[in-house]
Amino acid sequence: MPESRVLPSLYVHVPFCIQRCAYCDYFSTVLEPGSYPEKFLTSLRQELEATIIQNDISHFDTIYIGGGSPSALPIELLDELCIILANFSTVQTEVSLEINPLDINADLLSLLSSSFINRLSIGIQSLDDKVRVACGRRGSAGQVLDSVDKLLGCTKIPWSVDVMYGLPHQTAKSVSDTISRVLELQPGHISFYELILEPASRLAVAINSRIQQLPSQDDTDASWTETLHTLQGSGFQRYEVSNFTQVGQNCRHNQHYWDLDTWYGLGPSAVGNKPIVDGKYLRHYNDPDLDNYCRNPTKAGIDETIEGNDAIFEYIMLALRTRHGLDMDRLAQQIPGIPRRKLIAAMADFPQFLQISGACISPTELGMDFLNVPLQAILTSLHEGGH
Amino acid sequence: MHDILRTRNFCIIAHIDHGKSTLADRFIERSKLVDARKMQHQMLDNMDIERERGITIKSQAVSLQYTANDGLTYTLNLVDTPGHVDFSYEVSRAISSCEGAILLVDATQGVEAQTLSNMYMALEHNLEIMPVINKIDMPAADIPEARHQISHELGLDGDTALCVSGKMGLGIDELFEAIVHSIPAPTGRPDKPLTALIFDSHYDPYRGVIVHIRVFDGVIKPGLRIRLMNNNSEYLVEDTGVFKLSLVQQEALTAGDVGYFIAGIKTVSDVRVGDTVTGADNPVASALPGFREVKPVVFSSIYPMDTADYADLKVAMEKLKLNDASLLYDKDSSAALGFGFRCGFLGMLHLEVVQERLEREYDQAIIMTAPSVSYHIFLNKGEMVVVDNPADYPDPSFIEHVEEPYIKAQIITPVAYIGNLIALCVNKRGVQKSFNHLDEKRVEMVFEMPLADVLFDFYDKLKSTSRGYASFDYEVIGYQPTELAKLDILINGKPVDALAQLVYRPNAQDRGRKVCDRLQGSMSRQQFKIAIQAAIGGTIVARETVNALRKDVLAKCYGGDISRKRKLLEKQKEGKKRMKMVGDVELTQESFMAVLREREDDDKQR
Repeated sequence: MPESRVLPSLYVHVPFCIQRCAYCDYFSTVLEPGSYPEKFLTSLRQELEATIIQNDISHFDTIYIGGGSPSALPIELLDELCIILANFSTVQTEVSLEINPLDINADLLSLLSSSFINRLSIGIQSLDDKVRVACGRRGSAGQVLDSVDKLLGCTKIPWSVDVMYGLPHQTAKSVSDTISRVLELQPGHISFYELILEPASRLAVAINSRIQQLPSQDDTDASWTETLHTLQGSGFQRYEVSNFTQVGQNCRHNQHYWDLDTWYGLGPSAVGNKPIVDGKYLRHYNDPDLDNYCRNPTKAGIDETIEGNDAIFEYIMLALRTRHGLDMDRLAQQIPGIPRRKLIAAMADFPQFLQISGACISPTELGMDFLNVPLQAILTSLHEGGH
Repeated sequence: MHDILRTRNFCIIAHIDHGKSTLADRFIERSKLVDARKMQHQMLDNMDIERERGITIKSQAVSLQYTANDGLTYTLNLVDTPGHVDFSYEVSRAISSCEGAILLVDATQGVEAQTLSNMYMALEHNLEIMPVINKIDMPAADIPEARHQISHELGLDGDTALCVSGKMGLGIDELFEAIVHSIPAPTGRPDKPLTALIFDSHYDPYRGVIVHIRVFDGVIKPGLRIRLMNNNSEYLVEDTGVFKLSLVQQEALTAGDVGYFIAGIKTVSDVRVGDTVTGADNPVASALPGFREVKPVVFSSIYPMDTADYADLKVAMEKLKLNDASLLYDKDSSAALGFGFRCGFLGMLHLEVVQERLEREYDQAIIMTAPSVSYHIFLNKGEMVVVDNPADYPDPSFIEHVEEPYIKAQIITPVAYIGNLIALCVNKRGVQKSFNHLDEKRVEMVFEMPLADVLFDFYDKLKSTSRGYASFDYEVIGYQPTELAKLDILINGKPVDALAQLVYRPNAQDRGRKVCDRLQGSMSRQQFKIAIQAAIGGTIVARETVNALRKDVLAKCYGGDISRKRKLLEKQKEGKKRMKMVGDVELTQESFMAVLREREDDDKQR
């Protein structure tokens, strides 16, 4: 076993929503009478305990409570979840909670004031009512802003916001309006990412049957370039392809993903990852099935070993997404026997996208927008002549 | 050896989709040639494409044993014929190997264009024609109307036509009896010199070419030296037998029989459908009538998507050719696409079949260039050159005039669609030659029109204009003067030879616009702006632009997204193999297809 350099992370998937968003294909069920979220919590506790014992974990470096909408849980269950998780955190642990602004109420505010949660991720996505309706997002832009105002009036917890672009009816103007109103709220961190039309989503069906229409590529491009400009002009650093931060507000949890470190995923459909021997990774996928999970929370999943070229490629793909880029020395340490010269040669073909400085290869500003180009070349070089 | 008096050779002729192959299935099932458990839908259609599209491309034959009500066992040789206008010569050869034909009429559709043309063909060969009404189980079946049409339009006896359902197996025994009683036994003498007609052949990787024949006179058996009369080649017969889904060896085939022989023939191209087989030592004086070389009418070039795959494509083409004598090809090369093959096809369906077989059976990623007919170009110097490839188009200043192939198109349609169909044909430069009321509801129209305009979308438009009711058949009738232009397509200022096409000059600008539009729609953005232009001579007649790509799809990538993202990139890399670099620009297979077909474009307009 390679010595783990850092403490592991924990992702908790809360599979409940008040209402499903049209673009989402993550596993989640609508919270309604008969959903029994308390059963889920019992199962989660069992899975957590088993994970802690099996892996001899004292505490986590970061904990991320996502979903679904964890803020949609009945407050006493959310409270209980926090209490369970708090056992495995220290004051240094970064603990994030995803919040749908429409779930913000006095109970939630009071929970936040006394819990160990020290980072909030608020899903705004768009402040254009037409877009919100087309995507099945709960509440109007006005309601969202009121709720977030209420939240910010009560808590000093650092917070991040999610904004999407490329959604139905979303012109570049719509995106820039959303961004400027979001900036007035002064978030410390922004995840700004493009819609991927997931074939299994409701939106994909609506698009394919021409009930909905996506904005033109020119619109989406303009949404991106204008926002990039605005964010950079407002003191945000783009530290990853789709993540922007004010100084010191990087999300540590996500960094564990991009470093392909160890993290555990709890809850139905959650994914975990762990480096094992010989530069291999054990990827664990929990079954996206709530009933099955509740019946047997510790056995509701499958393992996949990511090895060889797949492991090398994932490592590079993730590292190059970040501003500080890929450290070839660390990669060589993690995965013995990488075709180092071949990889560097492939990356050196793209000076406009990648800059090489010793063992460190990082994306240029333009490279962050066009990573797929060098990544394709890296894939090709990995598959040529084998490894 | 069979008693010639207890042999019946027959074929089933029908319009496409009238249920021929399904009826053949019932025959096979009823004569217990195949275990019901092993029964597959459309037994005689071996190719995936045949089963999927529900069409028969190759002729097939099967020998059935039937014990009739008279207590005697008869050998019924069914020759299944192709059901598409592209293969009408094969149909004619199959027909001429029979004494009788079941003329199948769909009770829901009635008599259609191919029903008529096939019946004329059967009459030419003096076949006994038995009209049979099929699909009587369908709710829309109109048996009295079908009888009426058989009597009035075909001049056959509609009142006595048998009614069957191939699907449900209704009326099959009655049909067997009728075949025995109505279709004459073959005439022919085993003691005369060998005369046999080749109606098809296929290639078997272990045994070489299997030649499908009908013996008219004499005997063919292993050890006999035979001669193919068209090219005077001689072979020693190794094996003879009959078709029972698989090949069943027989000591000999004698006058009246339908079966096969094997004689060490290497490729199907050495055998011509329609040729006469005779004994080398005791030949007949003259061959059976009706032989002709099948000439391709549609031409297109096939290139490997990846130029490095040329050798693989060559092997695939050779293998395909073993089984498809009507596919003609020559080496070709293009500045944009490297080495490939210039191919001649019997028609658009044949082209599509070849394309699909190359992709599916031989796993080739290919590009096909815009199909073209073969033009006669008369030069100032007085000579004539035949050009079917835009690359060979001479300098226009040397051209005196050009002629293009014309067809006679026969269309049968319900009266309601006459106006739209005439408009369609006129739009396709058709000239109406006759107009004929078949009955109070339907008419037969004959147009002369250029083959080039029928190639692209005529058949689909005919079907959509008439809600599927109009039917169509054609034959090439000769050449007529035309005005021709070469339409060049330029990508970022450079002409792409593989996208060039020969077009009727008055339509050239319109076509150029459509091609640019379709190319624009099919091209993915690249990191620079792409200009697409259509030009005639030096003049740009249409232009489109593909804007530059500004960025990738910039999605998030967290814990659960990693494998997905990797797999997506792997898939995109595979997709790149299906891209063709033309200069700096990546063209997808769809881009080439966009030029090949007009259909998607029409769908958009509708």
